[in-house]
Amino acid sequence: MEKKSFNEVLKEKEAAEAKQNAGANHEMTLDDAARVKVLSPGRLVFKRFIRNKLAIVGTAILAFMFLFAFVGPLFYPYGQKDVFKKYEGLQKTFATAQERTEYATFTYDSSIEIPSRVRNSINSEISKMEAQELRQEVIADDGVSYLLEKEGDYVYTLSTVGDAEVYVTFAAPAVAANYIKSVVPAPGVELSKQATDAIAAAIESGETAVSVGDDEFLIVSDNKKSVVYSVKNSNFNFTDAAADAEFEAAAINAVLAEQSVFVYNGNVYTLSQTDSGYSASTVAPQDTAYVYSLYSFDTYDASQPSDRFKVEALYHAYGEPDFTVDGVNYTVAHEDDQTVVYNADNMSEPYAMFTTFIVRDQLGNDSYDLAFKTAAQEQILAMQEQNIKTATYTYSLPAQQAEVEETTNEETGEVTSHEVITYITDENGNVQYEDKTITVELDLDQRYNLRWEQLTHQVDRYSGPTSDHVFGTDGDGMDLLARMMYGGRVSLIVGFVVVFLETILGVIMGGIAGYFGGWVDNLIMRLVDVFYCIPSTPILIILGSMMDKLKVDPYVRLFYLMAILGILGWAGIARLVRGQILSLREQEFMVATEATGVKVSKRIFRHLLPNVMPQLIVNMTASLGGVILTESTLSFLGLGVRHPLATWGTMINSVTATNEDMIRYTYIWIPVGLLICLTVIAFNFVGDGLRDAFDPKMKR
Amino acid sequence: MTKYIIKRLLISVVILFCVMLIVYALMYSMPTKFTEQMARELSKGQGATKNYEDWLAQLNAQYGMDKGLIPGYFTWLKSAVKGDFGDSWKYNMPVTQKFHETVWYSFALGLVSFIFEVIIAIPLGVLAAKKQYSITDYTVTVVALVGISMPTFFLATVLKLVFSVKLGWFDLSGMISRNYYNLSPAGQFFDVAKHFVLPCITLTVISIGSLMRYTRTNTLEVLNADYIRTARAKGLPEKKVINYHAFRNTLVPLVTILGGSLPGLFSGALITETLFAIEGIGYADYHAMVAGDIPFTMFYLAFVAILTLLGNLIADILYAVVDPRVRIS
Repeated sequence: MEKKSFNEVLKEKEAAEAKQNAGANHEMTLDDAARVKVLSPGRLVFKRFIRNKLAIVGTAILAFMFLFAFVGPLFYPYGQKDVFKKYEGLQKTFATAQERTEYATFTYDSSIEIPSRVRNSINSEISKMEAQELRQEVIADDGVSYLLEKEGDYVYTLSTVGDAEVYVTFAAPAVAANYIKSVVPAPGVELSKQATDAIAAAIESGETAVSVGDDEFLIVSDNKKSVVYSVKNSNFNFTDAAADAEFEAAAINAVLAEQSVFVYNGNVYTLSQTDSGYSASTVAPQDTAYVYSLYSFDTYDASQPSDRFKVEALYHAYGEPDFTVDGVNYTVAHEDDQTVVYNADNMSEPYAMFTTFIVRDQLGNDSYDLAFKTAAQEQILAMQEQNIKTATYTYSLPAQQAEVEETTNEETGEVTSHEVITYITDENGNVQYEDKTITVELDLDQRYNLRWEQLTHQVDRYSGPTSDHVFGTDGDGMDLLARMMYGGRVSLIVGFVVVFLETILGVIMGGIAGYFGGWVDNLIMRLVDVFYCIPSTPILIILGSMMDKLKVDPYVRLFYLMAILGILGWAGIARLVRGQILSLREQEFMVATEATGVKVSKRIFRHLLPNVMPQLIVNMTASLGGVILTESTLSFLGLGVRHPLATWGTMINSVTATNEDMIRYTYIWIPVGLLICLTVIAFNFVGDGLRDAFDPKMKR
Repeated sequence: MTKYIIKRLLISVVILFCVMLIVYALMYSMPTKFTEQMARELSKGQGATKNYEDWLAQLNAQYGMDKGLIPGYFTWLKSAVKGDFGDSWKYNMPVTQKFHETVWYSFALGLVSFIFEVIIAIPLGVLAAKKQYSITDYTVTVVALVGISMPTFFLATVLKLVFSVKLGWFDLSGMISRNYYNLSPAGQFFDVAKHFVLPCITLTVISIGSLMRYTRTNTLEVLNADYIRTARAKGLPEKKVINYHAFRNTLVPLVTILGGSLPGLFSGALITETLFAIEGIGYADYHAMVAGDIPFTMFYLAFVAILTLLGNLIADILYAVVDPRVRIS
């Protein structure tokens, strides 16, 4: 016999009756079966459902949410991770100015190797030389000497030491007397009474030199005795210059102190022993390796001078003024209060200026022109004179504008427009200037920071609702409406996946327990008890902070979250399914299936489960709302789905972490919170409507 | 009856054992352990005599973390049965002492909201059932569903915005005002009470919905019963039918569910307390959990699990006590 469902049979009957009655004016009797309209169970439920106003409202909200979350992003131009930028006048430090205090290194000849130990000590050596007003300094390293020489103000050179030129020869200093409690003249030396007294007085007062008449005596003392040397008897033979008593004293002092080098009048002399006594030689540089200077160069045409130019200009600053770099001849000229480098072929045009005052942009580059630098320097000098730390002045800088620029992709022909910052020009292409107020401020590092307002390209954070971004942007410059849509997607997907997962688990476990009974039932029900008893919120928080510490990828984290929520939630459904199956198992139709020998699997899936479906559907709808709540709460606590994935919970969390933010950014968290509420309410409305529709017993 | 209770209690012990094993396994496998953090701090401290590894070994031995999962669990279990839950790692004091310090705030919060919940939800639920499909019914249903659907954190934030920021009636969070210590004892009590207002409102609004709907459903069931029709047929006034015949029978399931939720008053409101910085047990536990404080978390979760089991047991027993038709076997 052909199998037909009850519905089909009814439809056939209706069709047959309609055919029979066609045309004829059929008189309807009171007990006519056609008077009773029979609806299928499904349609009955549907009819009851749509009579419920709240359920309809819920369905409408849900339909909107689904469109919003799943279809919305397809038509909305922005993605959830697009960061938006804007152009805004921003007061910012664009330049810093300072007097240079550290000597910069310029390599003159890189073929000369000088140990880095020597090179690293240069700044301290220079400050020592400046303090003692020395012109030369010999730095020895590993037995090799190098000469640091002052060329002029702020310019030093480091060279290898060249051949010495003997400046003076002299005999070893002669002992004039010894002193142990009293002055005892050395054998063969006669000392006048006046000299003896003077020496004794000098020794007692602790002096090291005394001059009597035209003779000079040097005194070297230890604890017990003093030895007095006579300078006059040392027979100095200068190669050129006349004898200088001070020089002689310095030379003898060096001999007595067993030094190999001594300094006189800023110059360095090396001391060496000869057959007949000693010789002192001047030190001359041989090959210059490095130039050290406080100077930097400001060029008049705002070009960047080459490194070679800089080092050559410094090297020639105080010597031979002409030099050639890259085939161009330059000459250094010292003018009133500055040193200028001219192009030697065109003396009317200065090329660069020596300066110790440097103005740099924020990246440390020398990108400002001379006029700007001069103005800044003037202003700062005035400030230093008046000893003030903050001042403003007006200076004309290029005017800016943000312009929409269209670029055409050559392959696709697609035109994209984006804003760029350009300088305003007139019709001849000349840059227009506008006066800007520049604030100069001295900071703690003794640098002068120059601030003024510039159009800058920056992340559009927390912009309120605008025409571009209907709900504004969040703290990362991401469009809020887009993030709401994607966040809704995550919430709904998490809701559905979790509910299906827990339903599948619950139906399987509950079905097995209910159908088989006995020890299986007992075991599964105890398991259900255990899961019922696990405090789920704390567990979720523990797992969330665990994933935090493991730094799980946001997408993987989403899957973990769904799995965990599913596993924690199946117990209730298992209990419900088991209860239903227990009561259904005893009903007549199940006895009938057993009697007619229907297979076990068919009995469960054809006859038992469809009868559990109404309760399951109601339960699933209602728990969807609960799952969405749990997910958003976890995300709110920062333990659920993470940035950059948008979810409603994290969006609220990001602006309510501090009370100030919470008060300031109400336009962010209130709409998002309302979205959560609306979605959950809608699910609850629909679940409630379905419950009433499936279970008409509640009607009066 | 006694036999039933004993059987239930024995099953509860087994369930508790399993639940705590799961919880311990989770806490045990926390990736960044508290001991590691502590060892790092101790080894870096002034005059540290031992290096990181030595400190870690010592701390692990001290906290029973060196034994592996199962022996570690049994160590915990053994001392827990004796009532010794160890010292909290985060709070540096015995777990039970911290529990005593915090639980009463939670209980006060829970009890007050519970009372408000009962006072508001039950009459409204009965009213809605009495006037089924009226405007009142719809309003009550909508309010109940909105309450259920409200995320705690959103409601709390809205309340803070309205009552603390806009109206300035309450502090944003915390339990005491700045001038708390200058107040008289009565003033101090009212000061704390004032700080509990917003958390109470939050908890009441969140929990009111389910009780309201439960009352409504049960009242509807009772109103459809034959004896109500009989009472009406007798000509009793509607007031008497509802308040005398119907309401008493509605109370049967209500008493059951309310009795069952009594132990839960001690378990604290984790999220509400954290948001309003009420130093109750939930707040203490949230921070302990995030810090990986195993003794405190284990104690709290055991406590909550016991309360849940106790709640179920009380509900089942009350069901039999209140409704003589139910026989427990």
